[in-house]
Amino acid sequence: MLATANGTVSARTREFEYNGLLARDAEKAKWFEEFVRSTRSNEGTSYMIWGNNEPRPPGASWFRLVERRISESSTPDPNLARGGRWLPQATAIAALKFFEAASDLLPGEPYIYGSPLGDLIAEFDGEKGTLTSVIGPNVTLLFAIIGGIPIKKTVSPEGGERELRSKLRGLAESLRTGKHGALDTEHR
Amino acid sequence: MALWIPNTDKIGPNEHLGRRLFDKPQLIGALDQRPRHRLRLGHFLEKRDGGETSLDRMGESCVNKGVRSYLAQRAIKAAEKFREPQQFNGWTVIHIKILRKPPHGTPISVEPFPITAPELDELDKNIYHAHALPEGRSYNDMAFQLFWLFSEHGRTEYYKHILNWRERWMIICTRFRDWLWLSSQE
Repeated sequence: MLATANGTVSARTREFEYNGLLARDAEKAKWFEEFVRSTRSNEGTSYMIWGNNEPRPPGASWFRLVERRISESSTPDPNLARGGRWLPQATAIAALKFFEAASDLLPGEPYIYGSPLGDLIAEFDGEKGTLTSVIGPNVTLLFAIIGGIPIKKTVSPEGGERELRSKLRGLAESLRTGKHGALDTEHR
Repeated sequence: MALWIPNTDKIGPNEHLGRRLFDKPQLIGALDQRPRHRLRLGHFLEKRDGGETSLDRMGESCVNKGVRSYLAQRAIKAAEKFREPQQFNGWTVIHIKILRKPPHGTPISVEPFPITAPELDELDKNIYHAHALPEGRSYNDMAFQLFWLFSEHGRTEYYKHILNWRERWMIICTRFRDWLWLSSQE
């Protein structure tokens, strides 16, 4: 049992207060459930254009762990999302779609954190370089440093899952082999 | 080493520039992640949207010890003023010529931006402050170019800060709050 300014908080009932956000676990669990389900919907989402007859490759072994970390960091309160502790709901949805669509192509479990503008940053270590993705509701940026050369790729939601996977596949290959086409980069 | 007084009109050709490194808060759902003690893109992302990035002018031709000490006091105070108190760990330092003639991409202009308003407290003033200008780069592009240049061509100037009782108490409170959060999730 833990005492707070609001009274006694029981670990059993899992009622907690954090940064002014008061939530009961049952409510939060229900919200998460709806939240995760909405990200998996095949209707009305631009990343979900995977062909009907084409099976999606299985996700990476770390996908569920990262999914949980993102879901538990999301908040509908925009003021709370500014401090770097929480992610705005729209960013969390975009990030879950990103990982669901492409976790099998990524080099390994990412290190994730929030940006001051409310995007999610995921950093990956490859054998021959690093990949940093900045995931926001409107655009996803892929920044790689391979063999000391910076490479940038932009993925807009309009491009869909295919474009995301195609760009990531090229970068993942470069991160593995160290070879890359310098002319492919969008970086100035 | 005598304290170097910078030219507030322009940056010299051999100056060393530093970007302050603060421990950033972790996402509340990702407290089980192992912290990464290395340079990250997030170290170059500013709170302001314009893409101008704050740098410290560390010395005329090398890191000046007097300047380092002057700047450290200000950085420690700045660390306390964040919405979530952060720990100041030092700087990542680069030679100005790398920014002016990068091996890849377009040059980054840096201009002196001394903070000297008389109404400010002494520790809020900074005559060594400078801004790297985005010049058409987007917010994230600017951060990435600096991140790449500092990671490939910079070095870390660590600063070991001995915490006073107040700072220790703030860190203990933050960790206790994180622990409370994790406990509530079990």
